[in-house]
Amino acid sequence: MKRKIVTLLLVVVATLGVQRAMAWAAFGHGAIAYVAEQHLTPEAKSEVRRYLNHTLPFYASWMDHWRAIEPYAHTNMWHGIKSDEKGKLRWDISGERANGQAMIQVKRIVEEMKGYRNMPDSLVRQNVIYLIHSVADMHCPVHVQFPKTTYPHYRYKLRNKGKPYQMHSFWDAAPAFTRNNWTYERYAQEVDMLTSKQAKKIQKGSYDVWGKDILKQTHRAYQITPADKDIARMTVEERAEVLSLADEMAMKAAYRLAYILNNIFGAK
Amino acid sequence: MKKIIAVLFAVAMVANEAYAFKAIGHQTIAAIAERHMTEKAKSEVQTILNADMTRHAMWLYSLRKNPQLAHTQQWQYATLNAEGKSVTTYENDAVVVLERAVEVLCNRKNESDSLVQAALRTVVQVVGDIHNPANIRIEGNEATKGFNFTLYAITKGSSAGENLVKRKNSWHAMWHNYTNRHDIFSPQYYASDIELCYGSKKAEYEKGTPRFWAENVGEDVVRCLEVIYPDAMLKTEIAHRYEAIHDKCMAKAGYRLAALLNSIFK
Repeated sequence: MKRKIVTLLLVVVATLGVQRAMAWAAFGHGAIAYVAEQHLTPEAKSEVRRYLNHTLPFYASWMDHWRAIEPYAHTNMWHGIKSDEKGKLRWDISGERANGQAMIQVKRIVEEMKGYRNMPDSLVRQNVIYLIHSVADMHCPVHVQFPKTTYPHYRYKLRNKGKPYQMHSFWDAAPAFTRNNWTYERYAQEVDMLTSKQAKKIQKGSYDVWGKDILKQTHRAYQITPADKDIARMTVEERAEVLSLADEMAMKAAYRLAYILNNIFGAK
Repeated sequence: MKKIIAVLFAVAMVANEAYAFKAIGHQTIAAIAERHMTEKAKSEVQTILNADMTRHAMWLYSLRKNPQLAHTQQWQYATLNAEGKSVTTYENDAVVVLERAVEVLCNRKNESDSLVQAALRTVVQVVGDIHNPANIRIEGNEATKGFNFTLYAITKGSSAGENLVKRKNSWHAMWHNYTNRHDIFSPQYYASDIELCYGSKKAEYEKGTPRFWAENVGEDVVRCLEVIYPDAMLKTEIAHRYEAIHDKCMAKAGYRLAALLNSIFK
């Protein structure tokens, strides 16, 4: 009997362990996709919608729904980026996780899509769905994986009304923090205030530049919400800091996604 | 007949209006309809409701809280016979309620304003209701009343290895969850999304009468029940794939609601 209980507990623990993190959660992903859609050129918007047969937000969380299920299990590691031991972006991931980084996949897909007119529609559609999600995911502060060896101090939990709360879960849902019942449109109306100069600055540069920027901003999340920070007892200023970082990263994701899709589909 | 109509709707009218945020499905159907209504129909509907239709898309749900109006809970269900035909005359069946409400609206010049408003609110909601597969019941098919099943996934993660993850689900919850997935869309944006996918089918979908519409949804129900059945163990991806049927039903509901209102207010 005792053995059965121990086995059962192990199964429960194992099941909890494999619960997948849903970067940005459904709201964040949808909002990023919605804002990106507002900044597509008419040509790109028309082409993207033609392939998807839907709006961008409709597929914003598709990769989370399918990530662990065949035939998409290989995409399970396409949701984040990695830092090396010195805190620099890793492009040299080898072995089982060779294709593991969201940014590596985004770069590969963008290259592949240069010839999208000669590709089957189903592959173009699938690649667009991957881009919508992976570009957003790589901008989520807690989706940068720091090595245990040099960043052991980044492995901690927050608190919610005194009880332990996952740092990851908190930042995944950060764009919706304190914003009950917001729709994507409202998010865009209230948060998407960038001037065209600011937008160009965000979109400028190579993937390496974007990656360095993401890594830099990610450290702010650990400063704003240190270990044991109680998210239910934050001051107004602390909440504003959370939203400021979440919105900054969401806007970067949205504008860069629009930039990528405009380059693929907007070119005449 | 007229007396029964009056009593049913008069009782319904005493309830307060409700506005539920989670009503995204009904509101989206109303939003799709508004995009395809004639200017005349839109104007008359606006005058009767004194607001746009999305604000009234969940009206009937608020009535159930009143014990005197508990019977209105049944108004969302349409029952088909064993052959999948809508032949019922049961007064609380969704299709019969819809027919009565349409009758009131067609005869609106001789009815009180409040009765006409109640009938219109009922039409807006019940057209949506009969397009939810969970609201179609087929005689002799107990499964259509609801059942539980289990979804499972063999997940593969590089760090976690291969795992079997099981999740309980139910016939009703499955259809409602598809709607809830979109509760962060506004009804107007969700409507535009659905139209991207099903807009080309509008002319085909809007044909027929409420009885045909219920039968049409019943055909989808029968097909789904061949795969999803009581106590079944199903792969998660099967549930993901049925989301397209849910969206197709919403598109049909929106186009049919517009067609019905255009024909009433021509």
